[in-house]
Amino acid sequence: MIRMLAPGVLLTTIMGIASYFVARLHGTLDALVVALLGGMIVRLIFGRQKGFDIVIAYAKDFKDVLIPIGVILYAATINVSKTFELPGSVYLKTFISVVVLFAVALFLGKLLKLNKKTSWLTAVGSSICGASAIAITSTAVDAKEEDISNSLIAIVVAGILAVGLSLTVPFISNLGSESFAVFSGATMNQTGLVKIATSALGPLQKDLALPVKLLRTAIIPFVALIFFFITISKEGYKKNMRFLLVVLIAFIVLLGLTALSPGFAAITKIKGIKIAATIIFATAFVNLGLLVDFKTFKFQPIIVAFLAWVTAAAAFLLMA
Amino acid sequence: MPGRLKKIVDYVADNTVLKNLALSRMRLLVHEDVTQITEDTPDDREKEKRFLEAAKTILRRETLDIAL
Repeated sequence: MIRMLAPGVLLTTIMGIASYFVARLHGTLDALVVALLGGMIVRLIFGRQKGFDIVIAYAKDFKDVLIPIGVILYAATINVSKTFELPGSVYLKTFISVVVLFAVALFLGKLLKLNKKTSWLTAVGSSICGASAIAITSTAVDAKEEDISNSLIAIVVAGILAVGLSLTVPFISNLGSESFAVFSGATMNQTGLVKIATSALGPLQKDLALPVKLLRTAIIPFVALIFFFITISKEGYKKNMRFLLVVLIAFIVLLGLTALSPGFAAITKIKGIKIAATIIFATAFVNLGLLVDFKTFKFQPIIVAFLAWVTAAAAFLLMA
Repeated sequence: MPGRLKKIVDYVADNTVLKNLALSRMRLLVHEDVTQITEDTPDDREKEKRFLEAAKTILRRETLDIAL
């Protein structure tokens, strides 16, 4: 069995480490986005090779192990205390943007007759924290690969379109620097995309855009828990669910510890721990990318994610 | 009656922790995509023999208690 595991372990680990170093090449690059895209591209290129079956089988079998481990480590690197300094108006705009993104994505998902779980994942991915939210929620709702593939493709495409439009459409690009920082943090689905969109803003990126995005990221375990219980109530209890419940609760506890305990926060700031956490979560993201099967591709989730962002952007502009 | 091959594939999947890797290995051993085997796949004595051998190798068992 070790021989069967080796290709998957080696490929995902090497790609996870490589993603970390690639992301260090430029401040706008995010290791998780690089890892996810890397996994998707490798599957797209080599997915039809007969020998590649073993790697995909590994990715499927270890999804429910790697992602929860990555989640726990990822939670330890998030320090929401930075968001405590944000003004109340920023909280309100962020909250409204999240609600609009989530509600519109769910509504459009229903309108376009998306599979229920694809719709859920596209909604959480768009409104909360892109691929991280999809990774965690997909495990919580026991989603199929088709749901994961389509929602991931949708948030990647919609995210890239959102950044492109934000930087070029006059209504948005002419927002003041502070408003644009809040807009990016409140509406864009991936932290990496927020970094790209706000790369010209200097300290405002670190002090405003990323803390706003962090505020959304902190919602992940709570939303995942809600979907977890909805899934249990509709489909009954499945194996591994207790393990997942522990992971989600641990996520919340870690968020609280990093925010409220300076001693614990100092431990998580140790460079080695941060690097290890990023590499392990990036490895889980490579794994997730390898699950993206373009044969099951549907166009509707992209429309849903993109229109949800357009609506949230319009709502934000009305508030600005 | 069809379905005997499907029973062997299901048995392997149900009796291993790493289901997808086990089926991937089975595919290599029997030279056939076992995920495409359904209840309606016709029985085939030769294939059945190969499937059973592969199942024994993967599960590391001398005998299999499959209700064929």
